[in-house]
Amino acid sequence: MGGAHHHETFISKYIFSMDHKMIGKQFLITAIFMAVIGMGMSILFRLQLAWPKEGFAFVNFFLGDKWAPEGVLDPNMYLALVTIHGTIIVFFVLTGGLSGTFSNILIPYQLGARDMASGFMNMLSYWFFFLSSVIMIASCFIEKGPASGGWTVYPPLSALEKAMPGSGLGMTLWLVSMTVFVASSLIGSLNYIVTIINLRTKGMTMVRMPLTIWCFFITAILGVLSFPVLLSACLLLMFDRMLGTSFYLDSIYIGGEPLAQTGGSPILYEHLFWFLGHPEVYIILLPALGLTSEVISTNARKPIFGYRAMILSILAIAFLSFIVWGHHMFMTGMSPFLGTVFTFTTLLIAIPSAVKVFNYLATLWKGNIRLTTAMMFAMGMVSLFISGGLTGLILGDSALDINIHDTYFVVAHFHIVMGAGAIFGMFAGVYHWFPRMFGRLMIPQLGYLHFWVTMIGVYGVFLPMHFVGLAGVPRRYYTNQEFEMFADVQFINVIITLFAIMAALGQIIFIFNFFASIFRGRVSNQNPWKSNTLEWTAPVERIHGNWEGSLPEVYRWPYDYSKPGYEDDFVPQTVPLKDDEHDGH
Amino acid sequence: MGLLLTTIISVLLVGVAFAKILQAKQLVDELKDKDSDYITRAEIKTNALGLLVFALAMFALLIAQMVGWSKYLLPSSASVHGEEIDTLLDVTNILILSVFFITQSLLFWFGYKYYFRKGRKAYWFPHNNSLEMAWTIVPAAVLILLITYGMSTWGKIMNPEDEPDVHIEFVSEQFKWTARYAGLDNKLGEASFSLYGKNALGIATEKSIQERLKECEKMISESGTVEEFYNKQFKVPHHDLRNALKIYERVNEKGDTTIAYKGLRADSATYELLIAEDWNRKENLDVVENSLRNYKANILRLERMLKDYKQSPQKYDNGKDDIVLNGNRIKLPKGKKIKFQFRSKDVIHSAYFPHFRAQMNTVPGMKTFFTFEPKETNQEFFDKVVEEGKVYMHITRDEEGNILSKEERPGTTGYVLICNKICGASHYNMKMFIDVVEPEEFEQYLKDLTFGNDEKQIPISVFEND
Repeated sequence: MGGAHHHETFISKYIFSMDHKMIGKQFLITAIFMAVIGMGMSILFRLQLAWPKEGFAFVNFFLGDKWAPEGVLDPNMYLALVTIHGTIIVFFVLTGGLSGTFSNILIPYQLGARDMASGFMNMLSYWFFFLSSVIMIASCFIEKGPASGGWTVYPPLSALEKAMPGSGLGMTLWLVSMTVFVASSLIGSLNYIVTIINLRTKGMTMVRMPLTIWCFFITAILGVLSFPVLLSACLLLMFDRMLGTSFYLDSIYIGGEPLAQTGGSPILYEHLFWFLGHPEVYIILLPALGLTSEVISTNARKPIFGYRAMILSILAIAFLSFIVWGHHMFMTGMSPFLGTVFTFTTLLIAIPSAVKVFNYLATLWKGNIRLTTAMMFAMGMVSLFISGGLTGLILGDSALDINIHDTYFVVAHFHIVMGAGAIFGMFAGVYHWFPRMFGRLMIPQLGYLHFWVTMIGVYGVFLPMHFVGLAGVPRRYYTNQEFEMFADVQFINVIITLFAIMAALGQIIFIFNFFASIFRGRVSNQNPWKSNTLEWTAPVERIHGNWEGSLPEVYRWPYDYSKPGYEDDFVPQTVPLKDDEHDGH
Repeated sequence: MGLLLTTIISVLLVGVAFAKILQAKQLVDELKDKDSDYITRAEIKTNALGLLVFALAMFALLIAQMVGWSKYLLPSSASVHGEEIDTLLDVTNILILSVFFITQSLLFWFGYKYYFRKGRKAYWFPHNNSLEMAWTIVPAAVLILLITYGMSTWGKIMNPEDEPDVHIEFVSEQFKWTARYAGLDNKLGEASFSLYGKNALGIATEKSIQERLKECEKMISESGTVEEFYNKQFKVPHHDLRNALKIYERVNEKGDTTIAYKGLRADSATYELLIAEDWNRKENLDVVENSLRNYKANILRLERMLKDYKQSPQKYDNGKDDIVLNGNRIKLPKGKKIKFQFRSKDVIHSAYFPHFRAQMNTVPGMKTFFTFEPKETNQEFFDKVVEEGKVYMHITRDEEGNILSKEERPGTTGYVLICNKICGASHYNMKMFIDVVEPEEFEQYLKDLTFGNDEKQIPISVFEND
């Protein structure tokens, strides 16, 4: 460590790198690749929803005659696309991609560490992630298609090959891929936790850490506590499928035969799955909120309002997220009393969430807001967090959930809050820390264009979708033309699809901007956003070990923006306190 | 393919050109304003204005959608408990919409009002305890009220105090619903998945158990043991399969064609054929093996059930008069509390009655329940919906189900039960139509079903004649 002179080959530098910066970039680029696939899939099935059973050469081009004869999407393939879209975006883009990228890049940099606690584990974490991505994509190319039981893969549907073609080999590969993914996530998370606890530089107390680090820290803890439960759920499902056990199966009559496997319960799977599934929402959202906090404070040139309240609300959200999983299961027939309990805990999450929103607003108030592209996305993230969070009050209320459970209202809700919301946080992070990653800036004009297309696209897709849900249309329907009561909202489906296509095309701008800027972007100076945190004290060249010579020392919290008594509107953490000065908050 | 390639290339070229122009512009910017924070004042100002315009447009469109699209939303509830859900939804909506408009306005307004000006310094405001307390306590108080309201509504719906008037069962399978009335005794009989088959809902009576037992035993005796089945079908005996494969490998790898197997002096091709055929049959064998296992387990269960019957026969009497409905239409009585029981044959489905504000998953291996009281007959509901100004899409189809024409009409298509949990390829088309009728009509209908044209009034056991 620290020695900048040891020999590096192409393979040790770019492929099997143990440097946190390179691993972060590997995560990011893999995630971008996966996001393109996931988003492309959504366009394929959105076309079917808007213009059911009409042939598109475009669909046929991608899926071939087997899954899209004459360009008409096959119903089984529709479900497969929906499933893999969800899986890819939730796990590979927003979990692996978001945490993997920014935890890796920012944790050592912002803590003043030379690298992660274990570079080797860090490398393993990426390569497990890569392997699971490959398996997941490979599962799309097998004879009977990939897993198609929805991204939650509830048994018995996912356990019985006779129930649908996707529950054969495709489902097996899905489970294998997720098993490897969990391994990646656990290795990564443990590494993050250990690094944050042990490798803070001199003066970097826990309450001097930037909120990004707090969010990554809590996220990693959530991951370590909840992903193993998903692993056991997957393993038990695999046993049911392959070894003839019966953890999730009971009283099943399929293909004209009563199954010998009895005594299990499909509800058990749902409990296990959502015990991960709900913390997972915050595993996705917290890093996005952390990035947003940092970007907002830096660009508003103001300290984040209520730093300690922010930390407390992160802790509260994290704690509550473990006792709310039942709100996904109000309608499963579990005891109504449990429904009451889960309603109570679920709506409590609104309190820390509200505190966060108000704190963001207070941070912006009387700021001097530099609307960089990152800042635009951060503002967008807060807006989406509000919009999506509020509809959560409807869905989390068991009595209201009766009638909108599993309708498009749910789809709109979670896409806004944890889909688009987290993606916006991620974009904010990419635009903001791009100079840190590549020593160059992204092209701002293209960034603004990308922001507006995406912002308009996201609201254009998901605001109208609430109304489709309130009209009672269930999700995962191949078409809603079979019901006259749903056919009247078909025109809304067309609007949604048009916006979705627009938003998807808009991402081409980002991808172009991203790759073009790596090579041709304007060269950045050391601290392009005039930020306080430690990563901007490291040389632009991104050397091995991060800092030449000794590590920076920290004297203050990271949010001394526009502090009275200083001429500049920022005071980096490495500037010692004056004699009569108190540390920030 | 050619088209695609051309498109890609032209997109790339446009991109490159665009990038060059931007690069030039950046160089100019750099020269103009050396102290810029990598963005120009004009950019900040334009985007700040953009935020404002966006917020206004979003508000306007949201309001327009709420007003203009209300006719497409579900009509007001057709069940008694649903009214409370509707009120709760209205209250919640008012709350969240006001918070939405206030917070979003502030967010976008601040973004515009406080955009960057050179030389100005932001206000130092790192925290304020009383403010923070206020916006913790106020949301907490409001939420506690909302939670209490929601929980009491939920409790009333899920734990109704009164005894139900009518019992009805829905059983789901890929991809249809089957309904069962409880018959004269108003009690749903026991049922088991071991009895499915001719007995569509597996209703358990002594007769049905015995019949099913016979059926299963016959099935097993016909297919014989696995070994018998195997030796009938296969050229290579079961225990020899492994040997045959080894020999095949030797033939294949070493080109040794002198080994004889079962009198066959085989070259690799012969063996390949032989074994490939048998592997094909091996798959069939797996199916048979599975079937046998399933049916043997089923026989054990049926025998247990028969024993249970002998101990407490009265339990199995309830099912004798139950009525299983064919087809996908069901009548419900208006103004009666109906307790629905749900079961599933294969995978999880969800029984969703959007007009009645009712939903419950159907889970294999477990009974689930939901109770509601329809309050309007079909005609009454239709009239109400017309009054509320709701519409539906009238679709004319040809014989193959292709859509010929669509027309928006006032009113509704009536009550339906649909599936709301992903269950397979035809998930989107799994429905049952519901007619709510006056209670007198319902009673008569039930009598007709029970006695048919029988003047002596001897109940027909409908499920056994399915």
